[in-house]
Amino acid sequence: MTEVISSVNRINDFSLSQDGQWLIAVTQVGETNATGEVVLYDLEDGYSASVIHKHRRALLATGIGNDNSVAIGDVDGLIKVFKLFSNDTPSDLIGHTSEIDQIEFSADGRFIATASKDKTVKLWNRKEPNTQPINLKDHPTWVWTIAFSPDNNQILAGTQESVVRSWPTTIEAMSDEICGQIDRNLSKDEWTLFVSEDIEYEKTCENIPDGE
Amino acid sequence: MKKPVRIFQTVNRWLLLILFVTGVQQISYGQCAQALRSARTAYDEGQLQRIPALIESCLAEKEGKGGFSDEERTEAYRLLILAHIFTDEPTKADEAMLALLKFNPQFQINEDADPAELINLYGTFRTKPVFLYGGKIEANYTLIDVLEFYGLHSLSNTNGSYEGNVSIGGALVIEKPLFGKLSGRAELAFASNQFTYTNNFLNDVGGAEIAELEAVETQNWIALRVLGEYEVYKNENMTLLAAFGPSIQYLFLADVGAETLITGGEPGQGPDIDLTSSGKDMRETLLLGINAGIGLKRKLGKNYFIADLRYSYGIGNITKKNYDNELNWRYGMALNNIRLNTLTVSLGLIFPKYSPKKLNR
Repeated sequence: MTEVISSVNRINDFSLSQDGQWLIAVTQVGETNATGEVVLYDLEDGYSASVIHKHRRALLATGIGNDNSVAIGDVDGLIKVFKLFSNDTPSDLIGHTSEIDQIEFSADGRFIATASKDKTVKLWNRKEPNTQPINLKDHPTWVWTIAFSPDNNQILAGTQESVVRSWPTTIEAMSDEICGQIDRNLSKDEWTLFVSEDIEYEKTCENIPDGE
Repeated sequence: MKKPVRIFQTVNRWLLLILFVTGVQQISYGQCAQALRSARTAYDEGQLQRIPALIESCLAEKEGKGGFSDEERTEAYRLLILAHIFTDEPTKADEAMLALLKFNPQFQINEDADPAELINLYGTFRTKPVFLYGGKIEANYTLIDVLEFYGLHSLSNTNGSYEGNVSIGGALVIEKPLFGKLSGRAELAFASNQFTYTNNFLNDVGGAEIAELEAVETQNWIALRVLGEYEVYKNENMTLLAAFGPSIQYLFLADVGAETLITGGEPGQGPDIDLTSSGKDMRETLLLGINAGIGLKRKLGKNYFIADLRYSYGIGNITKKNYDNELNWRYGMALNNIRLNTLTVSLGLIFPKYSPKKLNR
C-alpha cells in the first residue's frame, strides 16, 4: 500500500480520467457553511495537485467522461459541467433540490446521470444540455448510487431502502418494456399533446394497432 | 382609599408579567415545533445540511424552559444524529448520540424502521443502566425440616410437627447488568420467619401432666443475598428472569411464646422467651443459604416493577442448644434440631441509573 494523496480538506469523491493520467477530486473546505474545491491531480507528475475550481458550497460528487468532461455536484443539488483544460464557462445543470450522491457519464457519451437525496435520478442529454433532463422519480427514498449497464441501455439506481431499480435509457429499451403492457399506440392527437406537433407522428410499438 | 388601588396595580403588573413570560414560552414552543417540522421535511427531502441550523438553537434551550417538549427533543436529536451520519460527520454524530442518551437514557431504536447506520451507532454506546436500585416488600412462608427431635418425654411417642406462618419483611435491592443476559443482584433484607411447633405428649412438669404444647417462634434476621439473574424471556415491556445465589443471614431476635394444655387443668401461657439472649444463646446466629427462584421485571414509566418467587434453602442446623431450664420447666419444651427454609414472594420497584458513553470497540 502506498499513500499517494494527502489532502487537508475532506475528499468527498473522485474520478479517474479514461487515460489514467488525471484524477479529479471534489472536496469540502471547512465545516459550517463549508465551501468546495475541485482538485486536479496529475498522476504522471507524482500526483501533483492544482485547484482548478472553487465552489461556494461543499462538493459531494464528481464524474469524468471519455472526452475529459467533468461534472461536479454540490450539497444543494447544483451540477456544474466543464471540460478539462478548457476556458469555457462551466454550464449549470439545475433540477436537483438536494445533495448529489453520485454522477456517472454513459460510455456512449449520450448522458450524464445524477443521483440525489431528492429521491430522483436525472439523465441529462449531453447534446442538448439546455433541455430538461429525463427525471426518474419513482424512488421512495434517497438515491445513493447509480451505474450504467455496459451497453448503456439501462441505468441502475440503488436507494436508501436497499432496493436497486433498473430504468431504460433508450427509446428501444423503453418501448420494449412498454409495448408489452399496452394494447394500442398513441393517437395523433395524443402524440401532439404529449410528444410534439413538430415531430412527425410514428408508431411507437410496431406490433400493436394505431391509436386512431 | 389609595391602598386598594395600589394593590390592584401591583396585582395587574404581576399578571401582565406572568402572561408575558407564559406567552413568550408559548411562542418559543411553537417556533421550535415548527423548526422540528421543517427539519423532518428537510430530512425526508435529503437536505441534510439544513437540519443542524434548523434545530440546534431549540436544542440549546434549557429543558422545560421553552424550546422543545421532551418528545420533540428526542426526535430532534435523532434527526440531528441522522443528518451527521449521512453527511459523514462521525464525531458530530457521536456527540449528538451522547447528548440524546444523556437527555433520554431510555431512548430505544426501532430495529424494523430505523436506518442501519443509526442502529449501528446506537450499538456503539453504553445504553443499559450501569445499575438499578430500589426496594421491595417480602412475604415469607417458613418451611422447617426436622433433623432430630429433642424432648423431656419419651421420644418414641412424640407427635411433634411444624407449621409455617407468613411473616413480612423488606429488602433494599441493587442490580447490575453484567454481560449478555446475565446480571447480578445484591439484596440487604430484613427477613422475618415465623413457625408454630405443636406436640402432644405426656410429661410430668411439677406434678402436672402437659398434654399439648403449641409454641410460636418468631425470628428476625438481617440477610445479605447475592444472586445471578439470567434473562429467560424478554419483550419490549417485560423480562422473565431465573435467579440463583447464596445468602448469609444474621439472627438478631428469636422469640418463642408457648401455650400448654395440662391434663385436668387450665391452659397455661407464659411470657415470651428470647432464645438469643446472652444467657440462653440457643439458636445459631449465622445462617448460610442457597436461593433459587424466578423473577419478573416490568417497565413502569421510566422505572421497573419487580416481582420474585424464591425458595431459600437453609444450610445446616439452626439450633445451638437443645435444653434450657426456663423452657424446660415452664413449657416442658426442648428445641429440636431443625433446618430453616423459606418461600418468599416479593414485590418492589427499582430505579435505573444510566451513564451513557461511547464504548471502546
